[in-house]
Amino acid sequence: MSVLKKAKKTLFLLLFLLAVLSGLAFSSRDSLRNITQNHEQKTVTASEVTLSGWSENNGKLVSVENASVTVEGVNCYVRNINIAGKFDVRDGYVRVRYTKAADEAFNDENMLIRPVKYMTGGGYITVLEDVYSLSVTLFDGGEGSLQISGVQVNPRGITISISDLLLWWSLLTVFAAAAALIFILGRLRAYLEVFRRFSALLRDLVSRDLKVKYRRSLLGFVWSVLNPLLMMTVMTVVFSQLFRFDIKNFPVYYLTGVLIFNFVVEATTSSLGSVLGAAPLIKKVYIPKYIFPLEKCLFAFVNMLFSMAAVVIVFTVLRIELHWTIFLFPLPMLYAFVFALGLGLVLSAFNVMFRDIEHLYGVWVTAWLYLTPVIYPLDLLSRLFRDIMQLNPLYHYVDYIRNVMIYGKVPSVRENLICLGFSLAFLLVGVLTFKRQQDKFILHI
Amino acid sequence: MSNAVISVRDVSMDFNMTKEKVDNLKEYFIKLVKQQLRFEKFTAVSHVSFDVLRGEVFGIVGLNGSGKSTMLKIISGILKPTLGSVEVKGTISPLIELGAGFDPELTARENVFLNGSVLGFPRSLIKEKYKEIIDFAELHEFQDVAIKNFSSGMYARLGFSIATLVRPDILIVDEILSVGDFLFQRKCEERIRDMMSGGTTVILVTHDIDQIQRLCSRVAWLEKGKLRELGATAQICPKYIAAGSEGN
Repeated sequence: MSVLKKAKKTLFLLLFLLAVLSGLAFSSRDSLRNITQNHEQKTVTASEVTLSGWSENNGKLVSVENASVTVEGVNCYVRNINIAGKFDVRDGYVRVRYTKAADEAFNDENMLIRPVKYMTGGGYITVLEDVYSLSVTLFDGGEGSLQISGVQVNPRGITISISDLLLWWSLLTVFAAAAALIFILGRLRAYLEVFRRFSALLRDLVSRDLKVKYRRSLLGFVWSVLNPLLMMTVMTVVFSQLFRFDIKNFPVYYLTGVLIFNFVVEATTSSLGSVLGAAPLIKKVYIPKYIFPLEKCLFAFVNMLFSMAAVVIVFTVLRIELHWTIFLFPLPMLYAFVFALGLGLVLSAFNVMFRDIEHLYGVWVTAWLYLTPVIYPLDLLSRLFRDIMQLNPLYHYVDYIRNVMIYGKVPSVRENLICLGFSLAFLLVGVLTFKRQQDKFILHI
Repeated sequence: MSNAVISVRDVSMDFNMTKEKVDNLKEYFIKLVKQQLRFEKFTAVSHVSFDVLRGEVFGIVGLNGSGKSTMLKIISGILKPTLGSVEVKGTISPLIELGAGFDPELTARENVFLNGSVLGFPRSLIKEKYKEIIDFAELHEFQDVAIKNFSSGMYARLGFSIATLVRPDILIVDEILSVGDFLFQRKCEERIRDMMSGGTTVILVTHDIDQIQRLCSRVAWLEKGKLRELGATAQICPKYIAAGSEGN
């Protein structure tokens, strides 16, 4: 019986691992194909090419000093720059300058000079570089006009886009979660039965936490609203006077971001110590142990809902333009909740064995605040860091809630999948770790 | 069709005892690398089997450290046995320690509801029986006082009256009848007798051998984690007392 159980468990873990690994393998391949399909032979039309510094003689273009083409979207590998039109070059040269990233200026290091012996009517210059934007200058041209008709992008050699990889990984995680659900379907009824029996306890514990938190404070629940408002005021003063970030409506930008961020931090930090804190209970009565981290996450969630009042106040006072998408705000909150629960389960389980987690996590939270665009705009970061940012689940939740609440953007399927993927991945890992560890708790508390 | 409500089958419980408790990562890794991460196994209960029948009062006796409390914790599901299995039919109300889950910041009234849900009682039931609980605990004028201000006797009284709120199928009692003054003790004993006559199965652990002899029909005698003897109270208790005085 127990051998069978163990075998099943191992099998499941193996399957899960396999799914994740094959997901990684597939995603790298598929994201490549994805880019191939989207960007192969990307042609920049003439209207996207800005020409400057040209001089005319009797209606004919004499020289072009700078014609720049900006290729946006992916880090493109430029193979050829096609030049077409009426021109006639003899013994001249073409200078191509390019940059590797958005915040980089054209410099002389990134420069190609190609001599042009004889070119008439059209031709191409081979560049073979990974570029972000480039400028092309034709020197010593004869009479005629110059037109850059296209930038050909070679799909090969493209680095895998992290966002594409994430998308595939998320899809796989959703499948894995579905598989896990099917796997435990038989026992689900029993689990739900236990959960139902203790759901009253869950509610009582949350209300206890609320009562204890605000007992003996004059304003009580008002603090949940007042606290973020006061913090926002401080932040707004600091960041509109000290560091001037170019953010429209900073108070709203900050408040929406910090809403999600604080929720996750509060939920996970309090989950962290929840099992240890419940030691007296765990030692004396049987209670499913996941109740404790779950309760802390619920408590933080309730607090977040209170803090929503602060957002509403600021929206009204500052007369922020409202979009219908604002009603989608519970979605990012739910994603964040599932994520926080998963992380909380892992943390609380390991904190029982190693109390170090507690101290380490405090440091991590500080780092996390700076790793998430809560107080600064994402544009501040270089392209590389923006890519790395994709790996931060909190970034996606924060971005999501801002998109629906401030910018009125309808979230794409892709965004939803990535958010869901992160949440489910953490939940799965959390549940599995917690389940493996929970019988050992009593021996360590 | 067996009449057993609790069947304990070949249960063993091992604890890992490290000489120094390793509870931080640094030490863990240092010991892991040095391969010093060996635990000493301590067997608190080894290969114990017995059945408790429906409606009987079952006593567990033994000296300190004989594994009585561990056994109770295994039965009530708090500990998971290393080996063997325990099968329980019906609801258990563990009176292992009174007032488990009381929050000192909250008032008696709030704690009644909290503790009730800790024990898995539905809220409507607690609401219905609230007055009865407070009456039994004799805490009428203190129901809105934060229980951090309670005396230990008041604490225990409240705990006992919540835990015995409903008649559970199985009641586990560990040394708790020694709380409160003798008047309250008598009241507790009465309530337990009440339950017994109502068909509740009781498992009683106490060092008070008189109490065992007064209440129990059958007794399990544990010695150093092993089941030494199992049988009727009248047979086991004299032997247990004799063994005790022999040891002295």
